[in-house]
Formats: sequence, C-alpha cells, structure tokens
Amino acid sequence: MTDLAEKAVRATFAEKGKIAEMNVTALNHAYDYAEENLEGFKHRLEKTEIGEERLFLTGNQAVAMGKVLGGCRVQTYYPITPAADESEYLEAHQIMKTRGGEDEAIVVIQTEDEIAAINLASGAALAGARAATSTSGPGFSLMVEGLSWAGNNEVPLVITYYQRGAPATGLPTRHAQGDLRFVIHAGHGEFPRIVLASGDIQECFHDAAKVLNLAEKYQMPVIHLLDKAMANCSQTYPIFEYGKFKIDRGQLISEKELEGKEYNRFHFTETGLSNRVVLGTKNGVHWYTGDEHNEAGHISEEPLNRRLMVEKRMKKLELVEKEVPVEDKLNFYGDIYSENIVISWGSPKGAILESIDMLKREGFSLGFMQVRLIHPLPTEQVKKALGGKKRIIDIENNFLGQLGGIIKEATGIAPNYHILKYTGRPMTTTEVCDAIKAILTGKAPEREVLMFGS
Amino acid sequence: MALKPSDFRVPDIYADWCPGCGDFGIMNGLQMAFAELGLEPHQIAMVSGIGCSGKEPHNVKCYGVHTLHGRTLPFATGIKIANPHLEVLAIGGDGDGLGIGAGHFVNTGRRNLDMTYIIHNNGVYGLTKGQASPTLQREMQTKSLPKPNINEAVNPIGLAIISGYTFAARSYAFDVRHLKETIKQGIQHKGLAFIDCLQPCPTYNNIHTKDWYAGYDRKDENGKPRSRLYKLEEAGFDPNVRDWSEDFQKKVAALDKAREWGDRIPIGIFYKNELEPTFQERLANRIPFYMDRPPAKQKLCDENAFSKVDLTEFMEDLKTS
Repeated sequence: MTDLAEKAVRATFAEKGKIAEMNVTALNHAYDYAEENLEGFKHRLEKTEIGEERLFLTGNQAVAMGKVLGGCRVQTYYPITPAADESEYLEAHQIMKTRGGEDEAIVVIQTEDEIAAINLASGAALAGARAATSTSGPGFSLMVEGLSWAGNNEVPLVITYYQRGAPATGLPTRHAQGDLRFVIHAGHGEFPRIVLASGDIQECFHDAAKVLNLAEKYQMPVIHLLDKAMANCSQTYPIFEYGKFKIDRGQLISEKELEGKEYNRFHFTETGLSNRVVLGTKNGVHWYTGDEHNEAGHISEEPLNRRLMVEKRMKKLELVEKEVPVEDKLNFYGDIYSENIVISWGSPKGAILESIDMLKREGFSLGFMQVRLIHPLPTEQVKKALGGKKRIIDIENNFLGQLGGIIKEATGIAPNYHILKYTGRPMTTTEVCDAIKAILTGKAPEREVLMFGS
Repeated sequence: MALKPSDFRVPDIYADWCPGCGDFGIMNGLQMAFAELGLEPHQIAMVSGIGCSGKEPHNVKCYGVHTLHGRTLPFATGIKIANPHLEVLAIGGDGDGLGIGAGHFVNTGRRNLDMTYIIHNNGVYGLTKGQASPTLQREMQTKSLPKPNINEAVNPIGLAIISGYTFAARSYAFDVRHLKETIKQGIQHKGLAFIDCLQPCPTYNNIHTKDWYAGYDRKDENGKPRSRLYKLEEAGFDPNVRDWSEDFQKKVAALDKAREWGDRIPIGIFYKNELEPTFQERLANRIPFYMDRPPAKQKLCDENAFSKVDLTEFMEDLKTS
C-alpha cells in the first residue's frame, strides 16, 4: 500500500540506512493506524505516467543555468535567504562544457558584505566580464550606493533580486512582493536602470540569460526581480530549450577598431549609447568617476556638459522602450477582449492562470496581463490593454498594490479592484479564484486581503 | 621604446590639490615607477576611492577608476579577478581605507590577490575640511578640530600584517625616490602589497607637517634638523620570510616596528612573504585554464552569436521521470 512512499523515504535517507528504516516503520505505522481508525480512509499514492523526461528544479537553479547560458562569468554574493542557493549552485557547477569548444568557467566570489558584492561585480564588468550579483532586500539596501555609481558610469551589471518579507529583517524565510517601488527608485540622483520581473521558473531561466544582454546593450544596471516563492520552491517543467539564445554585447569594441582613433568612453551620441572598451584594451585608455564626468571620463562640473551627460544617460531608457520586443515586456493570457482584466507580476502568475481556467469553465470571461518589463514601463501598450475595461483587478503580494500604482502614474488608468496578500505566504489558486469570482459577481469590496496558509 | 615618467602625464588635466600637498609626490612616484617597470598605460588599472587621494588616477595616464568612498578594494578586486593580467593598483585615503572601508581592508587581506594598495596617510579628512582620520593619534588636535581627538589611532601596518597582506611597507610622499622604489617593489611582489604612504596635509594637519617629518623642531648641535624618518633597510631590518618556520617571528618583529612613532618613524618594508598562494593561484587550482581564459577573456558565443554553453550536464542532474 505504501510502496511508493517507502521508496521516496528510502531515497531521501539513501546514505543513512538505519534512519531510513526507522522512518519507513513510522510511515507504515501511521498508515495502518489511519486505515484502522479513520472512516473511509482509502488513500493510495498512484504513479503518474508523464511519458517524457522533465526537469525538477528551483528558481535559484533556473536562474543559475540562465546566467551560465547568458555568459555570466563573475558572480558575487553575500549569504542571504532566499538568494544564496543560486550562488552555491553556480560554484558547484563552476566549470561548464561548450558546444564543440574549450570549457568555460564562472568565478563565484563570496564577499565580506553586499557593498563589496555589487562593487566587485561592477569592477569585473568594467574589465570585460559579464558580471552579476544576487541578493534579497536587506542586501540590496546595502548595494544602493553602488547601484548609483554603476548607473552614473553606465556599467553593464546584473542584480538578481529575490524578494522576501520585509521591512527590516521582516519575514526572512517567507515570501513577499513588497520591493517593486524600491528597486525602481533606489539610488541617489536620477539614472537609468531596467527592472525585469519573471513570473515562473521557466521565465526565470530565459530572463536570467536575457538580462545579461540588456545590461551590455544598454550599458546600465539591470535588476532581475524575483521572489521567494520562485526562489526555493521546486517545479517540474519540460526540458528547457536554449539552442537559439544569442549573445549581444552591444557597442563593445575591440583594440583593432580603436587603432588610430581618439577614444572617449562617454562620447555624446544621438542614442545616448557610446562605444564601450574594456579595461586593458590597447589604445583605449579612459577614466571612470562617481563625480559627473566629461566625455573622457574626467571630473567636470561645467553646466552644459552636465546637462548633456544627464540627458545622454536618461535617453537610453527611451531606446529600451523602443527596442525591447513586446513579448519580453508583457504576457497576455485568457480572453484579452473581455471587459475584465487581471494585472499582476511575479509569482502570482501560476495561481492566476489556473483561476482563469477554472472561472472559464464556470462561464466567466477574463483576461490577464502579466507585466515583465516594469521599468521602463511599456506605457503605450499597457494603456492600450487596459483602456475601456470595466474591471481591472490588480493582484499582488503586497499592501500597496505597487504595480497598480505605477501603472496609474504612467497611464492615468487605475485598477478598480485589488486582491492583495502580505502574510508571507504565496497565493493559492483557490483563494485567488474565489476572490476574482466575488469581484465578477459584484460581491466583493474594492480591496480583498487574502489569508490562506498557516 | 621605453616610456618616460612624462608619458604617464595626462594632458589638459589640472590637479586641483592644494599647493604643497603630498598627493603631488605620490603622483610623481607612480609615474616614475610605471616608467621604470616598463609598463604601458593600457596595462594598468588605477582604482581610487573618495577623498583628495581619489583624484590621483585622473592625473596619471592609465585606465583610471575613481569609485565610491571606502570601496576602492572591492572594485579593484573585481577588476583583477576578471582580468588577472592587468596591473591593478588601488589608491585610497586613510579615512577611505581604514574608516569607512575598514571591512574591505581586512577581508581583501584574506585573498592575497596580486595587486598593490597604497594608502595616502595624512591623519585628516582633507576634502571635508580637516576632521580626524582613523590614523590620527588620541589627544592630537589638528587645526580644524573643535576638541582634541577622542579616539585611538589605527595602526595601518599592523592591521595589514594581521589581515594577511603579504607585503607591508611604508614610505613618505616627499621622499619620491624612496616612494618610487617602494611602489616598484609592491608591484613586483607576488601577492597583495600594502604601502602606507605618509604625507603632510599642508592645509589641515598643522602637526605632522613637512617640517615636523624633517625634524626642524629638533635640530642637532650644528643646527641641522634631525629627520624623524629612518629607513628600515639601513637599520639592518630583514622583512623577508624565506621559510614558513620563520613567518611568525617575522610578523612579530614587523608588528614591533609598526609601533614606533613620534621621534623615530620607520619607513621601508616591514614584512614580505611570497610563499602564500595568491588568489589567482587558488583560483587556478580549481579552474585549470583560469589564467589563459579568465572571465574577461572567455568567448561567449560562436561566429553566429549563439551562446556556446552546453547545458546538457546541468539538465541531466535535474531530470526526473
């Protein structure tokens, strides 16, 4: 009766035979007790035939694989939940195979604090390595000055940010989506950054590779925003396809292209993007500074230069908005022509998709817009998707409905319903489905707070 | 053709340090050391923090990275790890490296990367108008302090030695020849070299002035000033660790020398150990091709821009049926 469960227990304690047997005894004892004492107990574990090989992995592992694929070759971190498993997984898989070529390797550095982690990654990026750091809220708080430096110096830097319950130490091992506004605004002064949020573990993988391209192409920090519910939970997926992933290093130029030319790292251009040369390149000597700088990278406080430098940096965001394909910015699901639309981001995606299916079977029509590129927000496309809708339902794991607020600021269109949860527990399909149904049937207040989970 | 120190000057850049600032001496020492070592500007990355010293890289022709207050060492570490073939110099002030950046000072020592760290030590925060720095002794009251300094001083050489720096030396900004030689030895040292560079701050440190170091307040019977600085080498001090068995004694001797201050201040090399594996060697032990293909030199894609990485092994580990 308990064959499969016994097998699982033995596999879990494979190296501890005695403990395995003790647990199997306990399992059988409990099973027999239930069978004798509980009325109608007929529980049987059945094997599901899936007929294909699948991956069983966590978000941390998916991100690590995506980074390797995307060319990340220096990763820095300071231990923090729920981010650290990613870096440890990378270190365990430090040397990687390539298709018909020499092996490659990623160097993983555990630093003394998060301040060192971000700045060490910036240094590695300036020297020409694709570099990333991985953290959670308290760590990112310490990184903020470094983020500002990277923005000012147009450093291609990736920060993988796994949100957890906050403020302060908060609910350190639990889930939340409370840091969206923080990552969009973090850092003194005005500088461009990209914030991309994945909604499931498969997206974590693909986006982890893509953000490395975005960072180098647009020469700015990119925050890959994830959460605890994706970080440490395991899911099964079909084997990930990745053969078509291309590396785009943007305007990175080589020693050869520099020959006989004067080079300025921050040369003013139409797009705001200047040619980038890595430290150590012959004929390319240049400077970086946290101060405002001129085209060569030397300190300058001259008013016109200042104006042009601010504009140079900021207009790169327009380029991001223009060039990033819509399928990397927004995902649409369900009946997008319905008068009802759900907006969300990050890990509630799974519960929302399942709820839409369940509600459809009950005759309710509903669309779902998952926002992935949250900064810069694809304002026009969002406006188009939300215009004329009767019910806009914002679903988020936070108190403020942060995405809803950001969309309202950018488009003037506000969600009229909020389904929010900030207990530290992820959303479940049942409670999301019930909450949406209550709204669609006119039985819900404008703001519902979910509580499931102990 | 070998380059001259003047080839490391940056045209059209005006160094805005106060007249008489020790930073000029350090700038000259760096330019002379680079030229004498036969380095070319593109082979060097000079990383600095915030403070008057932070502007040093803007005045030397090589890759210059002027970073955040206290964060010189993490940036320098990242650069060196990504491309170990670069000659990396970290430059910082005493407040930068021993106050706000003290955590990095200690932890960088644990790695022993093959690079050189020079602290500009003048006892004050010059850029913010003369507050006490971590190297100012207790009860000293430099010009802009409202009250005498209430904190004890950090001992930079001592801290370097117990943190794992494998080369610890001191020099003086106005003995450019000695400084240049010390910088050269720091660069040539296999491992992490720390140089504590004493310098007067003519604007805010009215105690440890150029004349004070030169001993104008303590002339001999012929009226000749007796310098407070003396050279360890000339005093017969041997800082070199040739075998692990003598390491502890050498460290103790160096710490003892590092305590000297006041009327006799040693300059020169306090401690030198090339037996300790560098961080690059430690990495190469794990990644055999690290020095040939460090992170900055790996080819990420094939000729059609497709990522070269083969994830089969990763996926195999994660497969379930």
